[in-house]
Amino acid sequence: MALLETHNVRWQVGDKAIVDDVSFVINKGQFVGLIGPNGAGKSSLMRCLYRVNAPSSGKVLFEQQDVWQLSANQNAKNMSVILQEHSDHLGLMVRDVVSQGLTPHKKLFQWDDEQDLAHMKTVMAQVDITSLQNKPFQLLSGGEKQRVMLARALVQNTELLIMDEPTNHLDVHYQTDMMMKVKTLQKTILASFHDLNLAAAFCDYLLVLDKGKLVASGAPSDVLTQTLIDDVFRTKAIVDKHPINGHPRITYQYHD
Amino acid sequence: MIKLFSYSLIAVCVVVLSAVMAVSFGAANISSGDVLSVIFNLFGGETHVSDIKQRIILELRFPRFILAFLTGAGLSLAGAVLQTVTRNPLADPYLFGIASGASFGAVLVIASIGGSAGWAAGQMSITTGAFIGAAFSVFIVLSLAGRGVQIERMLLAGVAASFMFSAGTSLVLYASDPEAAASLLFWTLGSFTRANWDNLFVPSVVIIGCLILFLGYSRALKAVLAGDETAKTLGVNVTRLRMGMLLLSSLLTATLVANTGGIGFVGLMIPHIVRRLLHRHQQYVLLACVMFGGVFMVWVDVLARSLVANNELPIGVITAAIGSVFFLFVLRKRSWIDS
Repeated sequence: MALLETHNVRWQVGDKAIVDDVSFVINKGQFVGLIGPNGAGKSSLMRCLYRVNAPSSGKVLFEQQDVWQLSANQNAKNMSVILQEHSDHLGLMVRDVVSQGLTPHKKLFQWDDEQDLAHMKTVMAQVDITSLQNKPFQLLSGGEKQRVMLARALVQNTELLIMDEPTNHLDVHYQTDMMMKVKTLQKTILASFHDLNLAAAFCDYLLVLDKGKLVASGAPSDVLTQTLIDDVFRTKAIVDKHPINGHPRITYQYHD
Repeated sequence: MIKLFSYSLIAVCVVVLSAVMAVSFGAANISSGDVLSVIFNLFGGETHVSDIKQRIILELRFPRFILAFLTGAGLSLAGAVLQTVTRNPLADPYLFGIASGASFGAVLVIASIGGSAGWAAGQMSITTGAFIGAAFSVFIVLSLAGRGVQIERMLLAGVAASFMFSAGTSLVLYASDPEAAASLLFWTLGSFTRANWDNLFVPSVVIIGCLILFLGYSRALKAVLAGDETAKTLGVNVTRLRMGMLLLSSLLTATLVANTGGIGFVGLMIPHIVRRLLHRHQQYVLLACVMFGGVFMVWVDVLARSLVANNELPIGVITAAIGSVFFLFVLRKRSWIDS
């Protein structure tokens, strides 16, 4: 069942199309990866989905509803977003950052109730940040911060989770750890990646963006070919099967 | 819940204690016992305190205590909210030119009414003048802030507006005759001497109204701390919220400046201290700003009245002195904010 669809989405700055005529469908429960070189328009496309960039033309539909017809609040109940860069939150404690996820579900003057606190507690345990809850967010390491962002998104409790390079700046442990945590969620995921091996290992479906256009899409084993990597990413690579998990494995050629 | 209750109880005790002690300080020799006796007298008890002392307590000292409390509370609230919507720990009503705009408006009105003669009659028009000045400053800041009200541009525009209005205030002061100039100086330095029961109504209503709105929107305010883009994905209309909060803060500041003149640094300092003390109880920061700011200002007023014998120091001088030391302290121990 289609959860999110884009129809010929175009987003331009001046005359230059940053996102150019992009159409795709994300089905409920899918883990979709968005890949493409620097400046391909991945973040700009995602901003069109979560209502920060208004498309110059085309439509973004969530469950058949145009997201731009919804209020910011209604949209926040449909999708949660984890961005690459984090604000330092003016000294907020981790627990308070996690509780920001409740924002769209609460009216004015409605404080956190027992149920909210219990939900937050479960989520914090789920992503292993219980011991961090009374620390200032800005003092955490990059990996810990990313877990807190995941916890906030889970408290927001939406069907779709959008992540802009969730593994950026993370060490190998936190990269796998983060992706494993996300993979086990019963959610629909759209995440952008720079690491093609990570994308191949965790995604069911890949969208390849180049110069604002969608140039390929499909299962990782169909999309990640030597020709595509050469054309789109301008890098020579050998693609074979991962010896343990069976998904495509990309080995880059660094010297001639 | 029990914790919250006991904190509130402590807060109320501190306010009552400050009230009794602050009211008993001053030129006329009045003891804390006299103050308590007069309060009990209000509720039907007997009092031995002389009529003149009763009048001093009820008509001069009490309104003054309340005005001082309201001013500290209101400026701290405005500072806390501005720091939140700009995510800038150094934001305060002064940085955005709100206070200097309000001062300029008030000074213009006083100068045209003609010094202290039209003071009482002009109270409403002074408030109006202050508010127009503040609103004008906010208008300048917002129109320069760019699409989506970008924080950095807003801060720089605020600094520019602030200097512009200060220049205007100085010019009016320079052009006035010495008598009017002395009266105008009141606005630039701040004082609670003109407190009376009649001019407490507007500030009380504005502060209580703003506090209720701030509390109502506290969840959205907390979400803005996540950054504009994330706050949008959390369902907050960031531009509208920031605009609304900026306008409320200006209303708050303008009302207070109109009644007390320019009192700086409180809006910067108190939210910092409160946030530091209550970092585990984020939800009470705004209420605590009211208590801390109010009590702090009451004691600053006591200092102003008792530091120099037979003379009263301007409030703004004392808060600026304390504030600058505080600022240096923060700079030396940056970790104080960071951790």
